[in-house]
Amino acid sequence: MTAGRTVTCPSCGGTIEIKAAGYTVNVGCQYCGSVLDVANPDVKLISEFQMAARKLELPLGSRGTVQGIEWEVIGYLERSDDESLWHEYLVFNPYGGYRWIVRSEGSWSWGTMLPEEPSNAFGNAVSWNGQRFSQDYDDVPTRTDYVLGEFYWRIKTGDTVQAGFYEGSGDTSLSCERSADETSWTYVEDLPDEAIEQAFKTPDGSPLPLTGGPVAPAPPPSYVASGFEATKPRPKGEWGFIWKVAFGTLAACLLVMLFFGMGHSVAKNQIEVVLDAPARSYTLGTFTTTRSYQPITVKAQSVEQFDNKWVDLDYSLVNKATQESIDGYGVVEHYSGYDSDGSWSEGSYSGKAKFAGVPAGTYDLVVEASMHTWSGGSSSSSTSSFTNPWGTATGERFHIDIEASTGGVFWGNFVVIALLLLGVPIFLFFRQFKGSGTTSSSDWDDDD
Amino acid sequence: MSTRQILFAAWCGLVFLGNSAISYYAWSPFADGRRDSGYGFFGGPTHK
Amino acid sequence: MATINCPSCGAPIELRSAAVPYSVCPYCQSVVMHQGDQPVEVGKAAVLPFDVSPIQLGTTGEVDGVRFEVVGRVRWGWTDGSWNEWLLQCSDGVERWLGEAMGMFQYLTEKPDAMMDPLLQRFAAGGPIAIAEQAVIDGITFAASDIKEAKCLGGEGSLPFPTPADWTMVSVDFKGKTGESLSVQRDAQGTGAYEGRYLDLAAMKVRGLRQIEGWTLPEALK
Repeated sequence: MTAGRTVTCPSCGGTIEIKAAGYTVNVGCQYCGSVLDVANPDVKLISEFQMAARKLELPLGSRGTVQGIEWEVIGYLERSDDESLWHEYLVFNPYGGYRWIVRSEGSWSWGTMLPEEPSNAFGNAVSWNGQRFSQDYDDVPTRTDYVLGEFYWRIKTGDTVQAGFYEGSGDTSLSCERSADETSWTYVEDLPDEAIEQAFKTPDGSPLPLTGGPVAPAPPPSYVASGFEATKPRPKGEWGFIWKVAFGTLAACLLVMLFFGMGHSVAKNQIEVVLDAPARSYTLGTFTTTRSYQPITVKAQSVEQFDNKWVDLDYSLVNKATQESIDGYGVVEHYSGYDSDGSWSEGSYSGKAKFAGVPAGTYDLVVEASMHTWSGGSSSSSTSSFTNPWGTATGERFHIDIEASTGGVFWGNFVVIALLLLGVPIFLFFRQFKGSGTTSSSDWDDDD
Repeated sequence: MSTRQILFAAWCGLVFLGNSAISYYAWSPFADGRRDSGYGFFGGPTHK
Repeated sequence: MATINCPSCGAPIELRSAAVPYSVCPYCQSVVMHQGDQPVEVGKAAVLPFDVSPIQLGTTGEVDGVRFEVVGRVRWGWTDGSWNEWLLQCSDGVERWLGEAMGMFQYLTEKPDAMMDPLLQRFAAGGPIAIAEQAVIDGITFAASDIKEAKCLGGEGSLPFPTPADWTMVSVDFKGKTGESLSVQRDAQGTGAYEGRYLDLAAMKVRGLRQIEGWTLPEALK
């Protein structure tokens, strides 16, 4: 069964004319790259969107005369094995059937499918049509990396076969491809460049663009219904399904984090710290939480400005019932100075400490605070006092406002979530550009 | 929908559920735990 | 060529072959049995989908000195594609078909004595066949290479059997060691075996091919 002469791509809505109606089974949509099953009247999507459209050496719809018969280009494949990458064009004439034009390492060859296996197809040498062909290398796994246009069998991106080459006399050879279900043999003849380059013309009669490589998508061919041209589809490119799902999930995760990070102030107090004096403990307040597990954010803000000093704040949330303590650390600091680059300053007069997973309960917020002079830097140090071992503080005094609130968002978590979600499409996006030239060798590992 | 899309959507679903769980339990490996007493104490935080 | 009127819609149906009892009305797709006194409608065939096959009813050719004319067609579909089988009325009276798939043509001649092989008899009785199972016909060993379940997608012209829309069959291809092929098909009515070989259109000296829009007939086939 076929879908008739024209089909509509279920992914992008583009109209595709089927040239080899009745034979064609799979089509790679020329607008969006999706691979479609057209064997039945209802067109099915096999794989959505591959990569940006290609600029083909032989554009789909080009016609040329080879060996006395006119052929039209209806399909295009990019294939690769461990060592090289090449392009295969499927050409069709309803009275002549199918042929293959292969573009590999700067040269062209002509392939004809053999309807039957050559004899002695299991040895290293086979014979066909009176000629002998022998295999010098083992079979190599060969993968189809890109599918565009019509094909008479179920081909899609990622399909892998075992391929063997049998050299014959002159510039002829046999190619054998084995997959799980079938084996196919092709007779291949090398062609001089003119045989293809001067024989083929694009559908509008202009000569071929003979360099390959990814470029903007070709405009839809002239026989496309005009209703379609009014809403030209974008190749699904970067903003396809995977990106939408990734960003959508990330947004949903952010909302969840903001929701569970809501809270209110539960304790607020001001402490006095003496510069370079021994640490002192303060109980800032008591609060109760009811949520099974709560984030707690403690914000410390210096009332005065200072320079080249820092305040260590060792927090403890002491559970009144169990006397267990959850500890955290915050710091308020500021430094400045001059060096060879000019003046610099660092630090912040406020600091936040976030506690994770605080179980429900009643807690005392305890802080052990100490303020220190920083001995680095080239500015003249403020007159700092020595540390008096008898604990009588004689140094400068500063004040820190400390406020504890329930709630808080762990932005580190968010970064990890973003990497997990966006890492996949970013990785895939950059992988597209590997090996997209015509003759470079490239490494292909897992499937697309 | 291709296999890859379904797999990626399942992965996103998994990440979302994981995120919801850690948000509910307010868990994070990035919480400001107690500071390491040996480091930066005597000499101060190291800067330029 | 004789013409009858379709018992269902009254349109004229050309009987391309006197030898076969069924014909499909080109207007309403009724399958008409016309070997009795009165033509009788026995079912409806599915509407054939559009294809670009170069063969049409009335195409003629010659193979091994035997001339043929295409008088009927059945189209079969399976999960991964479809193919045509064109009925050839041959000057030697033997039933032959031209199988067409993927742009290649297979000239199939019925081989009833192949059904004496035990594997094929088992298959005809309803048993299964697995890939690589072997049948021996005329001393040549054939191995099963392909098994498909196919559904009839339509028919046209004159045929030796009715082609109702729900007709299904199992088709098994066998390959011999030196390239011979055998095709065995089993449906509700029975099982038939055909030996085949691949030929291109020029080798079969075909004439009267279909004109296809946008393509000119190659010189060799005019």
